[in-house]
Amino acid sequence: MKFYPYCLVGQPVELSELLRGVDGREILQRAVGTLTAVLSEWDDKKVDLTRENVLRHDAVVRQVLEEVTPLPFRFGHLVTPDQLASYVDSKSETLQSKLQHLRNCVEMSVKIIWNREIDLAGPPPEAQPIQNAGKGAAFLMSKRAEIQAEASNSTEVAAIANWLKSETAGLVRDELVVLRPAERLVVSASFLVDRSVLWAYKKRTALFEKERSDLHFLTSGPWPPYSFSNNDLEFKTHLGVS
Amino acid sequence: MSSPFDQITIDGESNFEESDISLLETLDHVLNRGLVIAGEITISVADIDLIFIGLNVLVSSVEKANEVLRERQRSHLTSESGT
Repeated sequence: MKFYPYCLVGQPVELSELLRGVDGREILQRAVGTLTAVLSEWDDKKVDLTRENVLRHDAVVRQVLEEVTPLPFRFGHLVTPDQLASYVDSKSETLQSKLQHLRNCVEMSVKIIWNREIDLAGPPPEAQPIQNAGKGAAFLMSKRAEIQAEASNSTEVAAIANWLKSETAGLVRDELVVLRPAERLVVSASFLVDRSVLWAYKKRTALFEKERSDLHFLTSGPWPPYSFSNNDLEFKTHLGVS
Repeated sequence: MSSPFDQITIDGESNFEESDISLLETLDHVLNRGLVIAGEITISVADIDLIFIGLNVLVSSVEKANEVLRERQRSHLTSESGT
C-alpha cells in the first residue's frame, strides 16, 4: 500500500467527512513522528494529472488551511508508509521550524506584467554603424546594443521588484520574488502574510493599479503556503527561476 | 476563508478567461511548489493541456499559457475548417 500525501500539520485537524481527495479518495490523518500527515491510501496506479485532481488536491489542503497553516506537498506524490516516516524523521527539525515560521500565515501572490516594447530592433544612436562597416562589425554592434537593452531591462525590472517590496514591507512575514526581465511577466512574487494583517495587505495591493498604471497586476490568494514549504535541500522545478 | 478564485484580480487587458487564470494560478502553486520527496512524484498527464510537463520542468507562466491557448485556438479553427 502507498499513501498520497496532501500536507503535514503539527496536530490532527477537524475535516469534513464529505471531503474527498484526489481520485475521489477518503481523507485520512496519520501520526508521522511528531507531525500529522493528511493523506489518502493509494494502490499502485499512477496519479492522473487532471484538472479535477489538481483542484481536489488544493481543496484538501485549503480545508486544512481553514483551521491551521499546513506544510503542503506538491501534487502527485506517492510514498510508502516507510518512505513518509523516513522523510519526516530525517527532516524533523526543519519541518517543525517551517511550521513555526508559517504559523497563522497564508500565501498571497502578485504577478506583474509589463507591456513595454523591448527595442531590440536597432542599436542606440551612439552605436549607429560606421559607414562602410563590414558585416562582422555591424553584427557586433547590433549584439552590443542587444546586450545594453537587456541590461537596461534588468535594471528596470529590479526597480519594479524593489518598489513592490517597499509597498508590502511591514505587512509580510516573508517573501519570494522572482524576476524575469526577458519576459512580459516580469515579476512573480509570493508573500507570506499573517492572517491578522490580511485585510491591510489586500487594501494595500488594491492600490497598485492606480499607483503604477504602466504595469498590469494579477493578484491572488489566500493560498496555502506552497511557495514557503520547499526544503532547501529539495530539488526545484521552477522554470525560469535563477 | 474564501477561495483564491474569488480573490483573483486582473487589471488591464487580458486574453484570458477568468477560469483559465484560476486554473493557471492553481497549477502554478500545486505543481510548481510545495514539499517534495525527491523521486517520488508519479503522475500521468491526462486532460490538462495548458502546461507542458516533465518531472523536473513545469511551465505555467501566464505568458507561456497565452501561447498555448493561441495555439489551441488555431488547432480548433483548423480542425473545424477541415471538417
